[in-house]
Amino acid sequence: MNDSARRTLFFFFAAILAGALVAALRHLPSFGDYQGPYGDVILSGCIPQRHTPQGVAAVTFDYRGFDTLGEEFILFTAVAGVLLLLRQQQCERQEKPRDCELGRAIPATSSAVLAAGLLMFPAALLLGCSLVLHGHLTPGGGFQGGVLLATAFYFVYLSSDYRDLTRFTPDHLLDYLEVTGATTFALGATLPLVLNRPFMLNLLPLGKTGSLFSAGFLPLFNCSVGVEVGAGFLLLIAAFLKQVIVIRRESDQ
Amino acid sequence: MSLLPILVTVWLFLVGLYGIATSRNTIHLVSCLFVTQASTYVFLLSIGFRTGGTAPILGKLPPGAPLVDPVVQSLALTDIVVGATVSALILVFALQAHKKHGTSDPRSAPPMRG
Repeated sequence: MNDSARRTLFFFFAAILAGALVAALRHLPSFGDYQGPYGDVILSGCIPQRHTPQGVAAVTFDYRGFDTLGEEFILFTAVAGVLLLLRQQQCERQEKPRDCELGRAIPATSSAVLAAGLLMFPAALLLGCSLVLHGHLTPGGGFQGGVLLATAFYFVYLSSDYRDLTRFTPDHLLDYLEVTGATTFALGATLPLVLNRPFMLNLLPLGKTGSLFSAGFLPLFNCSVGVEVGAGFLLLIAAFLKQVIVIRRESDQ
Repeated sequence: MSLLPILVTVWLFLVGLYGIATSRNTIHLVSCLFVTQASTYVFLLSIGFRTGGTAPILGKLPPGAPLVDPVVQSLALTDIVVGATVSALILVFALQAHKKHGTSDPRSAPPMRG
């Protein structure tokens, strides 16, 4: 099929789909006029029941925690799949890491970039830890903080080179962290079953609302997800970087 | 005015689909898939919005202050995480197809065999 026929066909069906979607969606409650009831029920219950002021975290890791467990394993499986598919193939070999750019030399890192990296690495790491640890009190949480934790290490890469990044983030350590994060969440969720209680029941004391150690399992789950997401994203990007920097085809020079 | 979020949702969805339908590069295709998915974020968040409402963090808010729905925010979070990891997985397929066939055009690459 040529391009113009493809476009014509697309626009024809897109117009039908757009019409149907708008016709269906415009009967929803109008924008800014949320009627509830689920959100309001949770917001009125999350302090008395769970001792956490953070509505989103209470939904993610408690009221809807079972979904999040599944989501976490989607993430885990995707990371495992990426690592499996990007392993060294038979027709490939590993070389000394070398940044390659077609047709031009890589300039040395300037001292301004190095200084920015030195400043940003601890700042991003600290902010990531804070987001994870206070996930049940303030906006943030394991997923957001985990991504930020992973990002922090790329300031090392940007202000230095690939070898320093691998020194900071050894693969086998990340593997362990990834598995530990996933297992802590899964075991924490199933532990009540062993004690003949409902799945994902809070076993830890709920504590005083607003303090760091409160809301039962919530901070534990936030930390385990934070560790898993951070390690997972580092593993993902490390696998892609390795393809560009280390792995060469047997036939290439 | 209340139609605007719906129009943005539909527009984002269709723009992404257009990109997917006419794409000649797998990386471009994955980006378009992400744009399509972004329409679901807009849609979810617009459903739970309440005029004048703040983030659903109770903290020191006076009782009775309007708050937006935390359930859809949590769903959007799930949406983003799953989208990011699945995109990574598709990019790996694109990378391996490129290695094997020397092309990243989704139309010219033959179907993969296991």
